[in-house]
Amino acid sequence: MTRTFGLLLLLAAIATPQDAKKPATLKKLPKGQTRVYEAIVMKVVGVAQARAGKKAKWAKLKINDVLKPGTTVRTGRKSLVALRVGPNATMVIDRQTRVSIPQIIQDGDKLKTKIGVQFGRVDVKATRLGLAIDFSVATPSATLAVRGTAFRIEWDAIRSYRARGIPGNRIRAIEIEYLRGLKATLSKADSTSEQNPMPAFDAFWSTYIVPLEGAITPEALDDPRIQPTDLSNPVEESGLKAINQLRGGKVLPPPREGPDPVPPTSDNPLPQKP
Amino acid sequence: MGSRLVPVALLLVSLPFWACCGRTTLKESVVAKHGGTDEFAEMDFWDALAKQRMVCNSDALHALVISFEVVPSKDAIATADSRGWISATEQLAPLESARVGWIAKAVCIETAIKGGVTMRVFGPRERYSVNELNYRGWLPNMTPQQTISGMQLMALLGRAEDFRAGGTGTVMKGAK
Repeated sequence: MTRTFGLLLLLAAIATPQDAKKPATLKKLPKGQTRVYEAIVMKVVGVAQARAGKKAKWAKLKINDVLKPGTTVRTGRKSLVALRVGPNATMVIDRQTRVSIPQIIQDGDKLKTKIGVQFGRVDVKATRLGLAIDFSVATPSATLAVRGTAFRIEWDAIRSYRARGIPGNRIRAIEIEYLRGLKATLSKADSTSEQNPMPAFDAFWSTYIVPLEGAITPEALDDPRIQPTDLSNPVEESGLKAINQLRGGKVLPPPREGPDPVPPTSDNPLPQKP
Repeated sequence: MGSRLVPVALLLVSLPFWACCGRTTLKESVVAKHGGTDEFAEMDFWDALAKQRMVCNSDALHALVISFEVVPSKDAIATADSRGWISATEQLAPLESARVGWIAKAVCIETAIKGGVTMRVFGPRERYSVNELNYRGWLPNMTPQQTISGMQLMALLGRAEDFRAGGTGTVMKGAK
């Protein structure tokens, strides 16, 4: 009897860690149903403040503060804030950074999170929890879509944006595909930037040569993509703008709505100019 | 009569050029509104500075003093003078747009960047400091007489902070 009890205990001890290794998952919501999540402050170093809306007053951040979607966070010199954003992402906001969190929701079987980096440096880690991820980080000059990885995004008025793997990124953990056909894989401290998408060139030019001057103006701060409460302007639109800029430096009009045009025929000729 | 008119005419013709050579003066500074010492005032200062298309001397001085945690003297100009950021004869009008030259010199002094051969021989002059920071990628290929925007100044000071955090972080000896 004692042996049987001991065996059962042993089996229970073995079984428990195996169960713990199972990846955590979230239940899908019925289609059309959404659930709003929040962000929780996990760590604060130095000066960090947040406000719930554009007209709200800034308040000092402390551990375990809960930030609702629409909050803007700012950090001072030698400061840092670590946030748990929704159920699947962790974000570290570095010194002298302004970040807004317009959206953290679960929409059916998709987790949608939008982060706006006005300027500064942010480390992001997003994980899959058995659901599709729509995690985007918007900066004044580019919008990045995260598909379940960890990276650092940096934006300033001198170098524009720069994305790179965080120190935990060991081997080819990040793959960025530009629409013009170029694919950049980032390992360790590799980076890709607006001026030099190839990591090797980016490393070379950032080490030896002065970067090109970015055409960034203070008006970029008023960009609706990085405003905290403007949910009416989806990131997809701004992403399209950024993609079009990547294609040829021109901002192309958004795709036309409605049915495709009917090709001209003898019965239906093209309209002639008067 | 004609010989007298020629210098007057030359003077009149050159007047627009003299006017163009003057530096822009701002209506008000950010530090006048957000010059407090508490952390909210400091953060409001950075937020307001980020929206400035052009930084004036008093704002640049305040940003440098905060950023490098310099103990201020009786006024900002005296602080800049005592730290060797500007020469003793130089007068910085508070609302005049700040030159990249003296800002770069201040950054080089406070971060103890020694620069290349010329800067090591002649010290952190404005011209060499700007060239050094251009070379490092801390400035977007600027010249000493150019003005700087608020966001560019913040980016520059951010780089300096990173450098000091991982570098020497001591004030260069013999800067003044």
